[in-house]
Parts: sequence; structure tokens; C-alpha cells
Amino acid sequence: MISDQMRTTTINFVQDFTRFPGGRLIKYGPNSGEEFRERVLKPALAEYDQVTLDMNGVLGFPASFLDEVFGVLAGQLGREELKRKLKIILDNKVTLTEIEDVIATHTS
Amino acid sequence: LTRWIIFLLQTPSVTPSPPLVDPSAIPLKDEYALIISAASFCFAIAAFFRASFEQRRRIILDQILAEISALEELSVDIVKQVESILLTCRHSELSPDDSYVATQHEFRKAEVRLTNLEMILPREQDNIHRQYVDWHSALTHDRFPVLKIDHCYRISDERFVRVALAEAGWRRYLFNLRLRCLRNQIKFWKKK
Repeated sequence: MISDQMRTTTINFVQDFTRFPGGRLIKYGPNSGEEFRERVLKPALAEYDQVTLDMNGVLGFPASFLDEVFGVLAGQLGREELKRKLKIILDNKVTLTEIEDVIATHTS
Repeated sequence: LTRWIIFLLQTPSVTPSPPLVDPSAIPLKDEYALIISAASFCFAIAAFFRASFEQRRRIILDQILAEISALEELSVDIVKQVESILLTCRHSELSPDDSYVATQHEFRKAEVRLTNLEMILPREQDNIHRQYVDWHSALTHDRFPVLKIDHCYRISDERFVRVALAEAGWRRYLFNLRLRCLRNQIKFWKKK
């Protein structure tokens, strides 16, 4: 039987990953964007119809980290698909703008 | 003489005619006084509003300049920290992790100032936000914080140019914003 119910999950960035995000790639150091994308976000997006990512509670995100996570993911999934499946909760408007920028850059 | 007397008797006597104006009308002198009083009143009201406007303008302007100055000072500190971390993988005596946390704290302080400035200057909100984002992206681009000594920048690294250019652009924008606020009135700062 096919269920019509949408399968959703919530990722809490601080609890499920780290409070101190690192740089771009795994080889550059711990808590990198590549690590978060491959270990946490991509599996969740593959398993669930909609993923809510709560990014509050983090001091700040390096631009390289955001680019590696959301930019690369937007390039792989497509902008519309990513926006449809991923809902971001974040109070910091600066970081939100940076996320929109990297998604636009990788999909334009 | 007789003829002269007859002429005088035949000439009708001129009696002063009553004034044509309404007896209840205000005399001319009082009209002038009224006009002068009304004008004085208007001037007083205008002066009051002008003083009130100036006072408000002064208060808002002081707030704007205080936020801009704080942002400028923070920007200088943050750039020094970022360059130090990029060069040595740490800031001063701190460990790489602590360097990162310390600098992120400075970014958060700047973002609080940024929010304040955006609230006081709603008409400039988008521009301020955009300029800050560009500056922040340039400073945290690539792999900040650098945690491995092998990945640190060299002093001649051309990637520092990006940081320097972003910093120059952000500081120039704040300087121009300060000038524009000094030149303009409240209506410039408010959103239409």
C-alpha cells in the first residue's frame, strides 16, 4: 500500500553535527561542509520527502562551508528540487543570504 | 458785496457724509495688528516644528553615526584576526579552535550592529545588508578557519588581495553612508 503521508524529518545542526562548522573539504579539517553534506544532509534528503534543517545556535558559518554544502547540493539536485525538499530554519539573515547566493551561483 | 452774499447763500452747504463701511468692521489699524499677530503665531509654530525636527534629526543621526563607528572598529579588528588566522592558522596565543570561536564572536557583534543600523536606516537596508554579506563572504571564503599549518596562506598569497579588496569596499561604503546621512534629512532615512 502506498502511503500518501509525507515523510519528514528535522536535523538540528548543533545537536546532530557541531556548534563550530569548519571549512570546505574533509581534508582541510574537522566539521567541514563536505562532511556535513555527505554524512548528514544527503542521506536525510534521500530518505525523506522533506527535511527541516535547524541551523540556529551556531556562532557563524564560513562561506566556504555554505558553498560546499548548499551550492554543491543545488548543483546535484537542482535548485527547485532542493528548495522543495529542504526547509532551513535560521535567524541569521546574513547567512541566509549567503546560502541563497551559493545556490544561485551553482544553478545559474 | 451783495452779489457775493447771494452766491454764498445759493451754494449748498457741504455736510460730512457718514462712512461707507460697516460700523461693526474693525478699524484698519487693528486689521494690520491682527495680520502681524497671525504671522507671528505661524512663525512661532514653524520654529517649534523646526526645532522639534532638528532635535529628532540630531538624535537619529547620533544613533546612525554611533552604529557606523562601531561597525568600522569591529571591521578593523575582524580583518586583523582573519588575516592572522589565515597566515598562522591561529590568532595570537589562541588555539585554532579558540581563534575561530573568538572571531565568530566578533562577527556576531558586527551583525548585531548591522541589524541596528538596518532598523534605523530602512531605506538603506538592502544595500547595507548586501555590502556586509559581500564583505563577510570574502573574509570567510575558501577554508576559513584554516586548521592545518600546511594550508595556511603565505604573506604574498594573492588570496589576501580578495580580503583587502572586500575590506576596502566595505569601509568605503560605510564612509559614504556616513557622508550621505550627514547631508540628508530624516525623510532620506525613512522608507517611502
